[in-house]
Amino acid sequence: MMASTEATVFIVDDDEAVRDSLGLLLRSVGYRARCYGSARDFLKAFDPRDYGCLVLDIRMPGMTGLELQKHLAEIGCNIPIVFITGHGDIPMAVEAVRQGAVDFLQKPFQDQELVDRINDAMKQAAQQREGELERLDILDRIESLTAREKQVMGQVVLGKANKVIAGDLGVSQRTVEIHRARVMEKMQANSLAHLVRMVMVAETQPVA
Amino acid sequence: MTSQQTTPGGPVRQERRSAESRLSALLNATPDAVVLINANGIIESFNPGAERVFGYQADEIVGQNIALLMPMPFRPNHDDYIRRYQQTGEARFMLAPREVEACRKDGSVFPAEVSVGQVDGNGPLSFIGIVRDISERMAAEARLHRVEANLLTAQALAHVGSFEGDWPGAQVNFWSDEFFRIVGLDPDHASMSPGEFVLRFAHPEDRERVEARLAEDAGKTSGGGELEYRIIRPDGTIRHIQTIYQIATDPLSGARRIQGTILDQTFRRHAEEALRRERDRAQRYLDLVNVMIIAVDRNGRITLVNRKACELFGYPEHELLGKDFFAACQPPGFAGRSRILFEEALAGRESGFSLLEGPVLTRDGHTCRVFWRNQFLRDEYGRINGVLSAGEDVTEQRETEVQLRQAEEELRLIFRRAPVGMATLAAAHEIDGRYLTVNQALCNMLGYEEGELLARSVREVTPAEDIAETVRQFRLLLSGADTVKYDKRFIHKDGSVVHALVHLSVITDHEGKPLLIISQILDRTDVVHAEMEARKQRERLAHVARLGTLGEMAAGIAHELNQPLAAIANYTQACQRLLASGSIDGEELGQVLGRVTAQARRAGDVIHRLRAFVRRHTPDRRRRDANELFHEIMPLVEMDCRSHEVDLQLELQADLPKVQVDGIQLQQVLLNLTRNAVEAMNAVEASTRRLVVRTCVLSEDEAEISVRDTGPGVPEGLLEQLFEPFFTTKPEGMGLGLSLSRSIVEAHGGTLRYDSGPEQGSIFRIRLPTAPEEK
Repeated sequence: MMASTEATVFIVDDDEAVRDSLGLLLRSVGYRARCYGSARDFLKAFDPRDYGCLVLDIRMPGMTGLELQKHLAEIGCNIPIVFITGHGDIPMAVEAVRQGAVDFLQKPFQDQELVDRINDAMKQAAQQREGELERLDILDRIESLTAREKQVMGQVVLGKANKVIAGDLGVSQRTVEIHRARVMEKMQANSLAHLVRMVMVAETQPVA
Repeated sequence: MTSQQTTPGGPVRQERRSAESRLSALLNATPDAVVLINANGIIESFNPGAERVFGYQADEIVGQNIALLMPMPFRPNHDDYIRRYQQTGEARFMLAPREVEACRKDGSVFPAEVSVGQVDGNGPLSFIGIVRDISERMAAEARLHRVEANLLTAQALAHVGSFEGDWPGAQVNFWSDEFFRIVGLDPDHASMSPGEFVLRFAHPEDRERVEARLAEDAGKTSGGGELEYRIIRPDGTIRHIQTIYQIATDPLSGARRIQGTILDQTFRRHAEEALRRERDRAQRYLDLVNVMIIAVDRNGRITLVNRKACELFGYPEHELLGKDFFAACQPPGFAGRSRILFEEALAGRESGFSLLEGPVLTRDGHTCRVFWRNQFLRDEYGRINGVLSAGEDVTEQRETEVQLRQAEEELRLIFRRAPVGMATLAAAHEIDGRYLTVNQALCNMLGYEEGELLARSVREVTPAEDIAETVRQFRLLLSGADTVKYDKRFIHKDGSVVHALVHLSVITDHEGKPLLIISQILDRTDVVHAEMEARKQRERLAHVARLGTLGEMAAGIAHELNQPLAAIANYTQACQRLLASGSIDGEELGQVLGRVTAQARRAGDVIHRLRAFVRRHTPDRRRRDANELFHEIMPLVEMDCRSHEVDLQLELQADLPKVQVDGIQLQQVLLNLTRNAVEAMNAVEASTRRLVVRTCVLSEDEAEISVRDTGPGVPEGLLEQLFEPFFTTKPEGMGLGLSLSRSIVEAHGGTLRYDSGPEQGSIFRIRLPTAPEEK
């Protein structure tokens, strides 16, 4: 499936009426909504680059909401999640939030409450999308470096002096300086700190 | 002789005198009468023999005419005889002795043999007559003739023939007429010698034997023998003959003769054979018959006894024969009376004699009872000369009769006094027949007097709604079941209901046709009431337990209600927004409202199901499909599984035979088991939690519903208490679930048991009897 560029609310609930009514409610607020009966169905249809948030039933046969959350984290997908729960599942919901969920809603809930949560999630999604775009940009820039430049950048962000780097690589200090300037240019880094942040963005969030 | 020589006188004179003396001695000694007459017939001498024969003294007859000695008709003729002799010299009677009649002095006439001779000599003519009285000889001859005649008649009558002839040769042979008849020849036919006879007539198979005897006897001069053999007569018929013969030799001539008789034994043989057969048959019959047979004579002495009687009395036959029956075979106390009866009967004064029963005494001192049939024996003149008795040993029979009477009495007592109700009914009338007999216990049970109950039928004491079942049981019984047993209600006289266990059995005649129904009725009212009370208690407890179960499931239930409520809330809020923004048309709104209604109904169903499950209800057993019953509570099980992250699997067998159950109770058991299973699996990893509900048919009359989990199973040490009340492993549990479940299942005639799972976990199996479809 093509990655959706439009913001979409993905609804995963095993209860058909619940997910159908949620879909209708969210569409009435103006969101695009897609409904799935199980975590598996969702995973089959989902593209990590899809933009939006996830409304997830915490209890489901097969893969539960919590398991899906864990799985998405593992594959590096940080789509914001709003959990909906029955009244007995508070401890699980708390755990979900601890694991990064936006929030949870206890059924039945006020529509506004849901809309607010979805909005929050969408905001987060938008931020994440921005961050993601930035990261992709950084990654593109890293891709443009030569192997020696990547090597030098790796040393530079460790805070090593040019002289030390030259000694380690067995090249002249001058050569290191040239590579370094090229890296700063290609990475569009306006400071060493900026470069370090970019490398961290690139490294800590592996590409899906 | 010497004296003669010394006699004086001349030799002639002496010789003459000696001759005279010798003659005189002879005349004196001879038994015959010697009479000397002269030519004129005058008696000159009359010897002592003549005196004896004729009765005259010599001196009174000498000088009289000889004619005196002749009987009247011949007397005058005698002078003529002499005269004719004198003139012609012709003497008729001088030649040989002649039989004439003579007359004694007393006038009696007797046969005499007379010889007359002329006395030669120089003197005047004289005659000497010798007369012998032959009357005795004649009488003997006459007798002999009579005997012979009789013999002939006897021979003919007795089929005895006689023969006589030379032995061993064949000069003279005489056969009697009967001999010819036996042999089958005409009496004119020539007789033949014994040898020839045997050759011609003896049966080939016997001939050798007979000829051997002939040869053996040929050399004998005396002695006799007896021989039996068969002959073949000219007409081809076979006769058995018996011959008795005697061989004799004439002492003078030395000629041997044989005399004998032959007897035709054919008929006697046949008769004997028949008689023997008859006797054998009679003896065999006597020995074989299963009754004792004893005959006694007028004195009570045993004249006949058969084997059976010998066996009973313990004596061999020869020891009984001739014994006094009364003394030998009857106990002393009875023998006297018995003999009186016997004698009175012989005298014709006792009419009840033909059938008698009394004791007999056996050799070893036992007493048996014998039933006698007596009959008089009579001689050929019709006089009673004894009694023939046929006796039957009835000892056992009498004992059995006594026992039977006792047993009957006992049975009657048992019937009357039995603590269970008992009644008999005529098979023919089924439930509409009046009771034939009822016992006190039944009367007490139903509150009636015996007479009142006997005036009623089964139908009249049966509640209307039980009539059909009662009739059905009667039909079952009468259609060949030996006994039937069923629960039945009766109406007490006061109108109350009596619960009873009825046991019917049927008594049939020899053709197997039902005659009598015996009903045993056990009052179970108290038991039924106790059972009803227990059932109520159980129901109350079950109700509490159901509430408890639902309490435990509260989270799941809340979830189950939350779902539709959440959906409804979502739909309605969505509609409000869409209406506010004007972006929904009527059609779409209608659709959404339809969904809202469906969800409201869904929530209502949950509530309804819960209420149905927890409400107090009166037990109501029906034929139910266990699969259907499970489907009804499946939402509860599902939500329980959902809330515990348990994978629910169903293996429900299609076409499961129905079971007779109270639906709610079975559902309660099922829910209890699934609850336990779900809870038990909290202890294991969520991904391995699996609950399998399975139904299957075990046999034609047993179905199983099993609940299997993948939990840790029940520890070995707790198995024994598993079904105990108040045993629980749950902190909040009452511990009534399993014990209650088991009592519910058992109240349905089923079983509930625990098995450990194939790898891990538990399996609880409910087995219930199937309820065949009613016709």
